[in-house]
Parts: sequence; C-alpha cells; structure tokens
Amino acid sequence: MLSDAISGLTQVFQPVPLALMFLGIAIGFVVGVLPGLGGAVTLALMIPFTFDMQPVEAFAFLLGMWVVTSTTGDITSVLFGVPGEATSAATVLDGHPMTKRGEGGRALGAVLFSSALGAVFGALVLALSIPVIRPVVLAFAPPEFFALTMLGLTFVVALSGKTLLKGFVMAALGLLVALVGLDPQAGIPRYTFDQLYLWDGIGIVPLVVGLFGGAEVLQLMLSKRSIASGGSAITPETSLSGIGQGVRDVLRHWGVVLRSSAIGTGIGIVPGLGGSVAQFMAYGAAQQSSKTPELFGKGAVEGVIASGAVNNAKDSGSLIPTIGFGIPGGAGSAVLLSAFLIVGLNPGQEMLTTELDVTFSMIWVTVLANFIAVAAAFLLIKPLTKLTFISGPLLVPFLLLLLALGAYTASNNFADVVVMVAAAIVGVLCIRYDWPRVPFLLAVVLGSLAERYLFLSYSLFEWSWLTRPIVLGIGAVIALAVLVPVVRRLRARSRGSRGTDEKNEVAA
Amino acid sequence: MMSAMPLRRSLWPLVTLGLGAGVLTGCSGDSETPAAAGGDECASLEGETVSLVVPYDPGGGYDTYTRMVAPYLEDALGATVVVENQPGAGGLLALNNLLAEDPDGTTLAIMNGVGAGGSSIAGAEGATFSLEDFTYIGRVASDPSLIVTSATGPYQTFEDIRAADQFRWGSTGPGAEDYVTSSLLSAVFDIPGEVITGFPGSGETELAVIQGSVDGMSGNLTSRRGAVEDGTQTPVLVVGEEKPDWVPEDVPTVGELDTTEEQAAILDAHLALIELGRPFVGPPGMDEDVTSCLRGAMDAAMNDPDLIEESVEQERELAYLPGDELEELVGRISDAPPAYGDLLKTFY
Repeated sequence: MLSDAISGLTQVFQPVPLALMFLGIAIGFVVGVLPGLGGAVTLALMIPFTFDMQPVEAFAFLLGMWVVTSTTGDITSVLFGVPGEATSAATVLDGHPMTKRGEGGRALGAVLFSSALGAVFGALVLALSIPVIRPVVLAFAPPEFFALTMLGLTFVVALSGKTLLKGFVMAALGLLVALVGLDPQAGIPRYTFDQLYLWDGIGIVPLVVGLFGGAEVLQLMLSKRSIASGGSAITPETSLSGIGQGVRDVLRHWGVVLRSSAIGTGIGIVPGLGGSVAQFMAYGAAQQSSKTPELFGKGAVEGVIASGAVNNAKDSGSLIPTIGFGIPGGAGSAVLLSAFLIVGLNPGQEMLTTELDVTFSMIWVTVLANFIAVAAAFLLIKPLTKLTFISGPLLVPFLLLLLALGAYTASNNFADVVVMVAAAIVGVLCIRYDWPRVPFLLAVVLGSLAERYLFLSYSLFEWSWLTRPIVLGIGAVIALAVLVPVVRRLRARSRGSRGTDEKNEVAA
Repeated sequence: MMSAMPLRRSLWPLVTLGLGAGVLTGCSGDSETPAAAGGDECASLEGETVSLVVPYDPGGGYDTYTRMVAPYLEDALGATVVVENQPGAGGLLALNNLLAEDPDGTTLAIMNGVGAGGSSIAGAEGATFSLEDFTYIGRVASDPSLIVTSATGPYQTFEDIRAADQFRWGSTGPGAEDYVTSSLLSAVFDIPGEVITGFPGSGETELAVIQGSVDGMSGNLTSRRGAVEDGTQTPVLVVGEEKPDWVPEDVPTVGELDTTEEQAAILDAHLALIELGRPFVGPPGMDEDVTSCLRGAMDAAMNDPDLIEESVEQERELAYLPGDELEELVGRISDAPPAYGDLLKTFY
C-alpha cells in the first residue's frame, strides 16, 4: 500500500498532470468565487475535455478543480456575505460580521487555513479507509441516513441562539417549505399550484443565495456605506494585518478543526446528505462546544474555522463510496463517476487493488490542489479585501448581478431568480426582527431527506429499523446533544440565582 | 399578412401527415443518401444559434451524449450549436417548453423516450404533449434496461424471480423508468411482491440491492456495466432488443422469454417505447426544409468516424436511427393494444 501511495505521488508530479492540475485549480478558483455556478456543474462542463487524457491526468484536472471550488467559495462569503457556493453559507454567518468589523483579513486567514487542514484530514481518512471502505459503506442504509438527518435537526437547538422558541418556529416553517414538490414515495404533487417548476421543490441554491447573500446586499443598499465601515479607525491595512492572526486562531482552535473535519468526512460518505447539511452540523457542533456560544453569528472566529474545515473534508468523504462501489456520495462525485468510465476505470474492487496507485494519486491531488489554492488566495486577499472598502452604492449593482446570475445558473430557470428575491426579502425580515435564518434553511434541506428516509426505512424494514445498532448509537448522540445544553442552562440558572458575580463568570 | 398566419398554422398537421405517409410508403431510402448539409434547405439556419436542450442536470447520461454529439452537429449544420440544461419535473418541464418554441429549427431537445413517452401514454399529470407532437430529428442512443439482483442473494436468474413468493423491487418512484419497467414485468409475469419507492437516485437503489434490503432493480443497461463486471450485481434480464457482448451469454433478452400472445403484445409495445431511446426532437410542425436539413446534418454527424471513435472510447455507445424511422416507431407505439396503455396508467 505504501508503494502505491508513493507511486501515486510520483504520477501526479509529472509535467502534464501538474500543468493540468494548475489549470483545474485556476478554473475552480474562479467558479468558487462566483456564486451559484457550483463545482458539480463546472465538473460536468469540463468532462468533454478529459476524453483524451490518461486517468491520473484527468483526475488531476477534475479533482484539482472540484476541491478548490469549496475553498474559494468561502472568500465571497466572508467579504460580501454572498455565499460563493451553496456549501459556503455557514461561512457567511460569522465571516461576514468579521469583515464588517474590519477583520476581513483575519476571517479569510482563518477560513482558508482551516480549509487546507480540513482537506488534509479528509484525504487522510480516505487513505486510511481503503482497507475497510466496502464494509463501512455497506453499514449505512436508509434507517442510518434517517438517524443522521435527525441528528442534523437537533442542531436547530444550538443554532437558534438564545431564543429557542424562535428557532423552533423557523425550523417548523422550514419543514413546511420542504413539503413543496412531488412527495418522494408516491409522486403526488404537494403545494405545487400546477407549476411544474415546483415539482422538484424549492431549489437550495437560490434559497441560500437569497437568504444570506440577497439579504446582505439589500442591507448594504439601504445603509449606503461600504461593507467594512463598522469602526472609524478601520483601513484596508489594519484589516489585512489580521491574516496571520487568523492562521494562529486556527491553530489555537485545533479541536474545532478536527471535529468539523470529522463531521464533514462522515456526512460526505453518506450518499444523499451532502455539503449544505454538513456545514451547519459542523457549525452547530462548534457553537455547542464553544465557551462563548453567544458570540456565534456576530463574528466568532470558531464559526468561521468550523465552516472552512468541514467543506473540504466533505469532498474526500464523498469520494469514499464513489471509489468503493461506484455509488456517488454527492452531486460532484456523481459527475466524477462518469469521468471514471471515460478514462476506463471501473470503480469498485479494481480501484482498491490493481488501480490503487490511481486512487492514491487522487488523494494527493486533493491535498496539493487545496494547498496551492490557499497559497494563491493568500496572495489575492489584499486586492479582494480592498473591495469591501468601496462605497455601497458603487458595489451594489455588481453584487446584484452576481446574485441574479448565481440563482439563474443553478438550473437555467427564471423562477429560481424569483425564489432568490423572495428568500432575500425573508432574510432581511429575519435580520430586522431578529429571527434566526439557519434553523429555517437546515429544516428545508433536512426536511425532505428526513421524510424520504423515514418512509423508505419503514417500507424496507417495518419497525425493526429502530433497533439497528448504528441507529441506536446515533439516537444516543441525539439524546446527549439535546440534554447537555439543557442541563447546562439549568445549572447556570440555579447558580446564577445565587449571585450575580457567578453568573457573569459563567457567561464569560 | 395577418390572415396568413392561422392558415399556415392549420396546414402543419397536413404537412406532418404527408411526411408520415411518405414513411409508410417506403421512402426510407432517403436516409441512405444524406441530404447535402449546408445546402439550400439549411439556408435559414446558417449563422444561427441552435440550442440543444437537455432536460436534466449536467453530468448525467443525457447531458454527456448531447455534449458529445453537439460539435459534430455544429460542423454538419454550419450553425452554432449550444447545449443548455433545463432540468425540472423529471424531464417533462423542458419538453413542455419545447412545444411552445418556434418550429424554425433553432431549439431542439434530447428526449427520454421511455420517461416522456410513458407519461404521455398514461396521461400522467405534467405531460401536456403526445409523442406524435414532436418532430423527430434522429436517435442518438438506444436506452435498454437491465434487471439486476444482488450477487449474494437468492435470485440469480429471471426464472428465480418468476418463481419468487415475494420479490421486492427498489425504485425511485412512480413514473420513473425503474418503476415502470419493474411494475410492468411484475404485472405481465405475475410476479408477487412490491415495488419499494422513494430512493433518491439509482446509486442509492444499487446500494440497497447490494446490501440485500431489496431483491432487485431495473436500470440503464450501460450504467450497470461497472457493477456487473465488478461482480456485486447479477444481470438477469435485458429489457431491450439487443444485448451487448459484456452481458453474459445465458442472460436472456425479453424477446427470448417464453410468453403467451397477450404478454408478447404488451412487451412488444414496451420494447417499441424503449427503442425510441434518446432522440433529438424539435417542436411540432417544423418546416419541411428545416426538418430535412436537420435530419441530413444529424445523419452526417452520427456517421462521422471521429464521433463513433469517441463514443467507443467513452463507453457511451451510439445507436443512430434516422428521424423518419423514429416516426415509424412512434406509429407502432400509438398502435399498441389498449391493455398496454391501461397498464401504464396504473404506474403513474
């Protein structure tokens, strides 16, 4: 296995694969920064160019491009509050407030560095899982997927901030929105109002772009100031000086990096859940374990670190079932699967034995591409950060264009732009009246999955699915996740009643 | 001028009827001598942009095929050809939109024959067209299905499935190809059991087959190749007219099964639908010149040795069928016994 790992590395370090990887990184960089146009779609568009390539060349190009999109998507999220990818929405929550405060450099340093670490973690798990890939994938069936969606929903508790009730209300609304579309079992149209567009439900990309990006842009439009105008003494130079501090923040919060990477890889392995769920689970977990959970959403660097690490770890995770069985873990790896066939590789046993060096070359590309992209991003931070000091009225038209394009390119349907605008209005109202947006989005994404897997679990196993060991295990984690904060709160309250000094201590 | 429009429109059915009659009287010889691409017929398309609409997200089979053929069609046509993805409603959205497009040849789409045809025959909600509406340019690929079971399960041949007490199919949901094919086989051969729906995609259904939580599934033949060669899935029946060489000898096609006349009639109608495969189609009532220009260009493109070589390299087999033969096929589907339509209605 070690010799395969080395052979994989030397195959990547040939002139042609390296050149193709750089090309892929360059394309992925731009695609990631632009909202809407996602990694999976771009992969599909690039597939025809791989027809004449050798396997390692093709994967250097495609993987190099794909893994970079989720890294650079965070840049747009941090600077403009517009998620560069549907998977970069969690980065907006804390990254953008930091930019407004004039700490854009620090936020970018943190998110980029933790992205690189997340990629390494994911790649390591992928490499280590090679001997056990097949049993691990086989252990997960619809009941386990359902349990995971439930675990995801429990993070609503953490993500609601101080107002738990508001969080539940928003989550309930999200579940209602998730009902729109054909029901997954019988194909009956629900709340579709005779519109074919609604058959597939409300699109996640326009929803995310509008709810987070649209809302920020509308606010910027109304405030008529530049993005980074929170403090009087902020200049591009002071903002940039934070990059190094961001990197140090990541090292200080290494626990957050590890946990988020593990969540990302785990969710990535499970087909069907994907990055739009993983980011909020990692974010929620970071908030729950933080000493200062009340700062989340107002510019907590831990939130930025969590959302950076999770995205890049998830890509490697979703490659695990793709390589092991030819079953893609997400939209991006589904497209990659067709690339396997084009270059004449059969996912499955072959990739884990005779073609193991190719598998390792993929792992190396994942790591290398991320480091190169992060290095390039660090060089570009300076000009990019300056953009946030441009006055609002000048920047807004450009951002509006990005938003509309971002929503439209998702499926070339104008209705997506309408959804984006509606989501932007909802987003602004949420900010204005202090209702949390994340539980809503999380419930939209998880609601339809939870419903699908619940019914599928019952039709496959009737009630016996409840006693499957992994389901019971995840159930225990859910119980802990709900009970621990409640117990903590109760304790804090009983202690708080004893004296105000102690209460302050707990809050700090 | 104003009054000319309704008159012209009313002539279209006659024109299409004429074309259809031409096919019936044996004009298929036309296809052997491809119309000179770029000739007078194509004058109206020269320098124009032709959109090829894919009714699904990028990256799938339909998308890959369309993108593979597009450059060759562009060369043969002398027009700019762009591929556009318009996903929605399982492919019906784009086809419904196509109905309203100008029939000037600048908008074409790749159609899912089984999906779109099945919906329209069954009168399913969402399909506002019938197969006869479209103008057929040419088939890119045929779309046979393969029935697979778990390699470690109790059902290793189609005879095993027919003898099963309780056979559980995995499927994405009513109206999808996997649902239609497995329900049809269950109904025709009286296989007891159920179709379990709700899988988000064929990948997840495959996982359930390998895990053994469902007994088998129907799926696109070409896409099953990896798993069959990997030995995790057992092929048991080819639902199509031809069998590729990587499918083991002893796996039958539907036509090779022992059937009663009644069963054969229904299966034959379904095979005709499957034969329709993945054609490029245009809006209803396309101008005769434009139609023959596009058909000629399609003929030239699909017979281009470079394209054929590319398709072999990608393991994406082409199965070209000229537009007029597709029309004939649509006629065969329309003439199917009513029992077939009645059966399909129960699958949506």
